[in-house]
Amino acid sequence: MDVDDAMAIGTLKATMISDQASEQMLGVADSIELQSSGTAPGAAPMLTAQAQVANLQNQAFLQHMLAAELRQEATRLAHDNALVKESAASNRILRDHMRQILGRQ
Amino acid sequence: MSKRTRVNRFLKLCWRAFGGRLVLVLTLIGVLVLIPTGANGQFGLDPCCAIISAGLQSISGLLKNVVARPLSQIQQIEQQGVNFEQQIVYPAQAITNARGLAGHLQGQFRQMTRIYQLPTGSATLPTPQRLEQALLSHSPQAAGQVSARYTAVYGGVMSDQDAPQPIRDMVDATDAEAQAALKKAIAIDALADVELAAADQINLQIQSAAPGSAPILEAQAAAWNVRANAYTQSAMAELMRVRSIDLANSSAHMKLSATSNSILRDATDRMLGRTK
Repeated sequence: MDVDDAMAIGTLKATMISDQASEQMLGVADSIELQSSGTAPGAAPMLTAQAQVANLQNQAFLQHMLAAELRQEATRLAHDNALVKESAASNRILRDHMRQILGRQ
Repeated sequence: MSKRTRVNRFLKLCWRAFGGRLVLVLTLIGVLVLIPTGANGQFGLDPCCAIISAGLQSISGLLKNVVARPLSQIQQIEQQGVNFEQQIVYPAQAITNARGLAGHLQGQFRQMTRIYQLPTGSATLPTPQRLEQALLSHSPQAAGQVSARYTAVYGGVMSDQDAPQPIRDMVDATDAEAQAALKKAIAIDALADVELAAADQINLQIQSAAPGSAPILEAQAAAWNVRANAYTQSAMAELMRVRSIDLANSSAHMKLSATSNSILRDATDRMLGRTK
């Protein structure tokens, strides 16, 4: 339960971070676009390289988000699996109790 | 007759034959040799020099008209080209501005990176905390600790006495996929950090790059982008596997439930048959 909560909270924090980063990234895109509208042809490759770098950063941030989602999905899978294990353990306990009860009778 | 006598007789005969004429000829020769003749100095042009001078002037005119004029035009065109490149294609101000933008954006990128490095750990109990530390470590070395810490939190596969084999298989496969996804998440975090470092490095190079070398940096960044896309695809594939296993588990639960119902029905029939 604790780790489920931790992963859920962690993912929520990651989404907040991602929202902030994506807003900044939109600002970066606007800056590059604004610069490119008033630049010379010779400086355009520098802006293109800059845009490629921004794209790479964006990919890295997207991967961080994807990692958070992977953790969350894996945790949910593990949680469901743990319920099956828990159920088996409960069954064993119930079975043992029943045997004890029947044995006593 | 002696030899000397013969020479004297020969000279006498010569004198009689040529006499004064010989003296005159010798005198003329001496005068011609001794009298200085006129020399062509700086200001005295020979007809030959005049011809050469005219030829040279002709060549000079030719060079001026045929060679110098086109050369001058070529020089003008080259100068126009240089001016065009300096003022239109590569104006210093535009290049300075582009470099300035790279510096400005680098600050923003670093700020975003710092935001992503904020701690997001939230577990409160020791065992989940240890698992969470490994999961959020961004360190591939921590992947080796995931299995033990995962089992500590979620438990292992139940014994064959506690569950039928199909359920044990399902649980084991599910645990394997969950752990694989958690390890993949660690790897993706680490790769993203490497990509951020590469982006920072390329950005730094852009700030001091010449316009001509910018396409090289652009190509490097593009190659990194291709690589990043591949890693993203890999993470997406892992995510799809997790969801597929989840779906398969739901389906397996339904199948197991149907089997259990069948067993229960048969048992009920037997009980009812006995009671009847």
